This record gives sequence, C-alpha cells and structure tokens, in this order.
Amino acid sequence: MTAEAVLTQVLNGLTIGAVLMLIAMGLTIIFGLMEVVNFAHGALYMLGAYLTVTVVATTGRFWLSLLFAPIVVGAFALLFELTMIRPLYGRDPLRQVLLTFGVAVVLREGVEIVWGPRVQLLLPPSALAGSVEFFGVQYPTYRLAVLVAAFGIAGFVWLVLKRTNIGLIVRSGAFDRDMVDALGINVRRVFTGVFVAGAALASLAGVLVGPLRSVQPDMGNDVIVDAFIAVIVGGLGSLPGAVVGALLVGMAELMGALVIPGMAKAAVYIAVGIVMIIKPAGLFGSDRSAGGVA
Amino acid sequence: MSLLEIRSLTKEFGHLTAVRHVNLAISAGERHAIIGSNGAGKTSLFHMITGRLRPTLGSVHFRGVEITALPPHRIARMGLARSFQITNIFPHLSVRENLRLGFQAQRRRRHAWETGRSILAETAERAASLLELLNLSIVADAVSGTLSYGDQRRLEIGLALAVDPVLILLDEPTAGMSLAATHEIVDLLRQISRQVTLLLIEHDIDVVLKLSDRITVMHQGAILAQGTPAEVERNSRVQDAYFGSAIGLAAETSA
Amino acid sequence: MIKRRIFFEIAAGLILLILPLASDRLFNAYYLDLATRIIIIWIALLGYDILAGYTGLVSFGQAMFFGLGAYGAAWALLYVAPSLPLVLLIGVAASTTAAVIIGYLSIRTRGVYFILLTLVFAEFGYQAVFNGGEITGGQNGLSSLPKAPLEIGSIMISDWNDPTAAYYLAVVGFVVAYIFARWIVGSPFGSTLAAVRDNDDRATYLGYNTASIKRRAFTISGMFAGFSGALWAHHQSYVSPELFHWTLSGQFLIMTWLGGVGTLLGPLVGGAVFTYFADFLSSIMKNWLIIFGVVYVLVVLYAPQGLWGTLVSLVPRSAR
Repeated sequence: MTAEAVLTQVLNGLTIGAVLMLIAMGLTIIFGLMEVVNFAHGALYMLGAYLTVTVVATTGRFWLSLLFAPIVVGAFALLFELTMIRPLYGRDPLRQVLLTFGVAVVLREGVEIVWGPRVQLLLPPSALAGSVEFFGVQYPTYRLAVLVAAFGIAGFVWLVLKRTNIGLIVRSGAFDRDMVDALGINVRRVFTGVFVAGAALASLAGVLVGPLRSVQPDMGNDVIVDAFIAVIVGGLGSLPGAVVGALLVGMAELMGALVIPGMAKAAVYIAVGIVMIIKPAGLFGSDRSAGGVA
Repeated sequence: MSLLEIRSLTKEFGHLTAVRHVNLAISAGERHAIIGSNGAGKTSLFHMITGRLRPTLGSVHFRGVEITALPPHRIARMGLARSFQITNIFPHLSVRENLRLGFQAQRRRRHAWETGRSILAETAERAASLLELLNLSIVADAVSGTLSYGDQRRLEIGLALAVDPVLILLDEPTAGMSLAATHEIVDLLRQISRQVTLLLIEHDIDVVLKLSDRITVMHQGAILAQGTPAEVERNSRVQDAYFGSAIGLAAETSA
Repeated sequence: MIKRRIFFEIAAGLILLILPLASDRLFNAYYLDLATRIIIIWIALLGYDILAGYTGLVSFGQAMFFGLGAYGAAWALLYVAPSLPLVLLIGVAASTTAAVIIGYLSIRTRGVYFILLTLVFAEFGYQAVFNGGEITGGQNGLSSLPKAPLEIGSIMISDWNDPTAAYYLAVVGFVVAYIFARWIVGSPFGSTLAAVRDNDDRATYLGYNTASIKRRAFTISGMFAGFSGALWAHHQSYVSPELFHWTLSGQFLIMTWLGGVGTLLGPLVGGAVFTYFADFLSSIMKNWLIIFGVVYVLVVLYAPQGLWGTLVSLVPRSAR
C-alpha cells in the first residue's frame, strides 16, 4: 500500500468521521443535558440530505440548502420537542427512547412517501467539483471542503459553548440541572434551544454528506447506530468525547475495510461492544451509574 | 464477640475525607444510635457497612465474618438489613406485595418438590402478620406509592424487617414526622429491638435518648465520643462541637 | 380477576384450535398462513414481554436471537439429519447460548447503556451474517430449506406445506410457549421481576441478586425468540439477514408496546393487529408502517398501557 493510498484512505475515514461528528455532538449534548436518547437524530440528518435534494432540484443552488435545511429541520425539531419530548421530561427515560424511536420510524416512512424509495443523486456544487492536489494525492475537492466545513462548524460550536454565556449555561446544565434551575434560568427553554441546535447540526451533516453518500430512506437508520457508538465510546454527555468517538468510528470502519473487507463493520461493533462492557462511561465519560466493570 | 465490628473504617472521595478511621463495635441485642450534624459521615458509614460503598481503608466484620468487599445482596442475606433515609420502596406494587417480596428474598426452596404456589402462599402469610405489626393492614392492597408519608416510612422499616434480620441499620427512621407518628415509630422500634439489634442514625435527640443503650457521636467524619447517653451528654468535646464553637471563637477573638 | 383471564384464555385457545375449519368457508388458505405467521411471532413477543414488560429491560436484541434461532434451524434443516424436534432444538440452543453470553456481558450496564449495547450487538450480528459468505448465504440468505418430519410413535407428519398442518404446528408451539410463560410470570421468580423493574436498588438490599435475575430474564427471552425463529425458518423455508436487523427488534418493540407491556396478552394483541394490518395495508400502500409509527407514538405519549392495557383498565374493577 503506497503512502498516497494510505493518505487517501485516512482522509476518507476522517471525512466520514467528521460528518458523524456533527451528528454525535448534537446527540451527546442532548443526552448530557436532558438525558434524552434521541433515536430520531439520524432521521433529522436524513431530512437535511433530502431537503438539499429538493433545494437543488428547484433552485439549482447547493449553498442555499446550508441555510434552508437547518432552519426547516430546526423548526420541526422545535415542534417535536415542545409537543412530544417535553411532556416526558422527568419521567421514565425508557419512554423517551421508545418515543424517539417511534418518531424515527415515522420520519423514515414519511421521507419515502414524499421523495420515493429510490436513491437520490446529488452532485457536489460546481465550484467544488473536481479534485485538488493535497500532499501528493489527488483528492476530491468537495471532500476536502466537507472536512474543512465540518471541523469549522464543530469549532464554532465549541467556541459558543466555551466563550458565551449561553454556552456556559448549557455546560453547567449538563453538569447540574437543578443548580441552573435554582439560579432562575428557564431550564426548559435551554433544553428546547439545545435540542433545536442539535437537530440543526445533524441536518447540516445531512446537507454536507448528500453528494458523498447515497441519499436513500434508510440513511437515517444506517447512521444512528454509528452515531450512538461514537457517543458511547466517547462518553455520553462529553463533547470532546463525541468528536473523538466519531473520528475513531470513521477511521476504524475505513481501516477495517482495508484490512478485513466485508467483516469490517462487524469487527468494529465487536470492539465497541467490548469497550462498552469494560467502561460503559466511555473514554471521556464519568457516569458511575452506567454500571460496568470499572 | 461483637455482632458488628468496624475497624478503622475510612472513606475518601479524592481530597474529601467523608469518614475517618471509625471504630465501632455493636453487641447483639444492643440499641445503638449514631448522631452528628449533616455531613458528619453517618450515611457514608452505613453505605460502607451495607456494601454500597467500598471503603478506602479499614474493615467491617459481621457475625465474625468479614463483609468489607461483599456485594450488597450477599450482606443482606447474612441478616443485615437496612432502611433508607429517603423512602426506597417498590412504588408501583401493593404494600402487601412489598413486604411479601422481602420475605421471599430469604426464602429458599426447602424440598425439591416444593411448589412456587406454596412459597407464594407462605410468604403472603408472613407479610400479613407483619402488616399487623406495622399498622398497615388497612392499606395492605393499596399501591404503596400512593400512601401517606408516614405510612410509607413505616413500610420502609417494614421492608427491612421482612428479611428477618439479625441487625437493622435505620437511617433517620423518623425523618420529617409529626410528634405522634414519631412516638409510633419509637414504640415499633422498641418492640422490634427485643428480637433484632438496632443501629440507627437519628437527628431527633428525644428519640435517641428514649431508644438507645449507647450513642456514637460523629463529627466531620470521625468519632467524637462514644458511650451511654449520660456519658455522652457530659462529654466536653461533644459540648464543644454542638454548642461550643461559638464560645470557642469568642474566646479566641477576645484573647 | 385471574379466573376471568383463564376463561378468556381457554375461549381464545378453542378459537385458535377450530380456526382452520372456517378456512374454506370464511377465508382462504392465505389467511390461514397469515394466522400461522402471527402465531409464530407471538412466541417471540411472549419472551420479549417477560424481558421488557415484566423486568423493565428494553432491548434491541430480540431480532438477533430470533435470527439465531432461524439460522440455527436453517443449518439443521440443510445439514443435519431431518427431524423436526431436533431442528427446533438446535435453533433454540443457538439462541439461548447467545443469550446467556450476551446477557452476561450486557447486564452489567444499566438503562440507556444497556439498550444501546443490545443495539450494538444486534448490528454486529447483522453484519456478521450479511458478510458471512457461503456459511450464512450472505446477503441472499438461505433458501429452499426442506421441511423436517415429525415422528410421534408410529405416525410421521411431513407434509408441512399443507396450510392446516403448518397452522397446527404453530398453535402447538405457541400453546406450549404460552403455558411456560404464564408459569414463569406467576412463579416466585416472576414476582422478583416486578421488584427489579420497580426498584432494582431496594431489591438488592433485600438480598436479591438482581443481576442474576436480569440475566435469567434475558436468557428466557432469548430462548423464546429462538424458538419462534426456528419455527419461522421451517415455515418460510427461507432465512435472510433481515431477521437479524435491529429494525426487526424495533417492530417487536412496537408490537409489544402497542398492545400493552407486562400483560403477556397485550403484546399478542399488538402482534396480531400489527401483522394483520401490515399484510392488509401493504397491498394498498407501500409505507403502511407510518400509520403504525404514528399510532405507536400516540400510544407511548397518551396511552402507555397500550391498546390492550387501556381496554382492560376500562373494565370496572369489580367486573374483572
């Protein structure tokens, strides 16, 4: 295997990981703050991709979907959170899992009804078509752009969380919800905001990934397990964990495909299973209530 | 030999030392109370005895056997029961079923041909008599989560009794109760203490004085004093800790 | 209350037994086959209810055990001496063994982590089977499985293609499973499941080894799922990786919650309704699942006892 080929594969793995990262980030913050396991998160990602298809089909402009998708998906998430998730706060967390799972099913079928079952083809915007010379390899421009964009977005989220007041509230809330509540801050609004933001992030991931992977109704289901794995390995509730976890999953799958094609995914899952058993709290997590051997 | 022997029990959470080299010996039939301000380490001590927390140092021996690292269910099986400060019952099950489950926990199949039905029947019978003792017969079939606070607290103690223990650890059994309810609990505990050894954490000094043979005073994780109620009352260090800090400060500032 | 239920069970049982007689008059053989499939799935639902409903452990692993039972039976049908009891036994053994192992590994984790871990295992199972090449038939699965004969004394039943025979086989399997499930749930062990679900912590302090109880429940559910899967493989003469996919677990989940967890009968209602309407609606619209999705979400939000549970609760206490 030549150095160029290795680099290409590394970049591929990073690209997958980067997209997964955006999904995982939303998923983990939502869990860390609200203890909601959002099974529908993959569906939100899928909506982002499908909305891009429509935007491109009607206006021919890819860039528009970067704005359009998060807004539409965000609005949907707002409705979703207010009507369905709010009533279940503080109740049995299993019910939330059941609920969001049901919504994921409805969204998947709904997407298929509206857009049809066939794979939709999305091309990268013409400005980013073609390939570029990158450290000795010819790499598709669009993929590099996705990498840059994903990390850029993640960086932006990180800044918001670390440097702004809202970010501080979210982080403290993830640490101690009641304390934030006692300080007089409307915790419910924070929850809603976080949920909508997470959904917007997932939809952006969907927009970005559209030209890279097949846009089909099962893409939500296909990605959600990987997203859960990324989040668990990194530690539920930990943002750096989500980033690391996602990149690990992306790289592992690709590397695995090189070494043991076919069984790559299976091997990843077994490895993950082992991690979850030994330290369910993940690499960066510290949730003692998770159980496990540690 | 003491029924429960605690040697040098210590618990550190990072830089915070919750329990500091506690030594305690409880004899069979004794009624022993642990008192101390909040954060004195009393509940952590209970957690370590019952297997919920692993001590950083020290050991716990029960009936001559070391139980320090044992899982909670094994310790419970040996006859060490516990009631909780925050009511910890089976909220969706009936009061009767709550107690019955307690009896069933210790129930082993006596013969190979013993049917499930007979086990269920026998444990139900024993639950019925315990209901009488706890004065909960009237609400026996009510869903326990819907009971009044006082009733729930009695059920809480009842659950600890149902496992037929040799020693019960009671964590603030009269917490949040009216005077009348407290009297009831004290009577109940007095009755129980004829067959079971009691170790309780309490804030209510009246209860402590009425119910205990010996008292241990804890302060900031360590034992401040130990002895009969009279001895403890006279103890100057206890006086300092409970009433003295203001005087001590005043003495210092005026010096 | 119990007497009424037993009365209902016997009545339902009798209906099940005489159903085929109506086959040619009221409906055709196709519906008999549909009923057969429903009854086979019922067995898996019983196991799932014991785990999720009675013990409170929501798992996405059901499909994996169902698939293992199916594939185990498929291999037995293809490579082992033909005998129906043996085939079923191999299927159940495969799923039960896996359930013991995976249960031991997963039960140490709690709540959300447990659910996700079962999901990961299910996905692993699916990938392994999907990419299993020759051994598992890969993407296409294993088809054209032969039927296995059943010898009772001197009688040999081997024409399982006959819808009536296939139906009664399913009914017998189901009745056995149901009696077993009722016995478990009504036993002292069964009462501990409710304790674990309601307050795992306190149960531990009473002296119950809750991890062990949960593992046993997990194994039991794996056993039921495997038995169901084995019967399924034999009936359909075909197995495919989809039987392992977590979305199938999701369907079991929907069936169970739709009907009403923790009642054994609820999931059966859910399963029958789901499968029947799936069959019926799929001829009208491809995405019939969305209707169930919506109903399911509504049930989770507003009627968590499920359809059957809500129905039962509407009957005044005295009449039950």
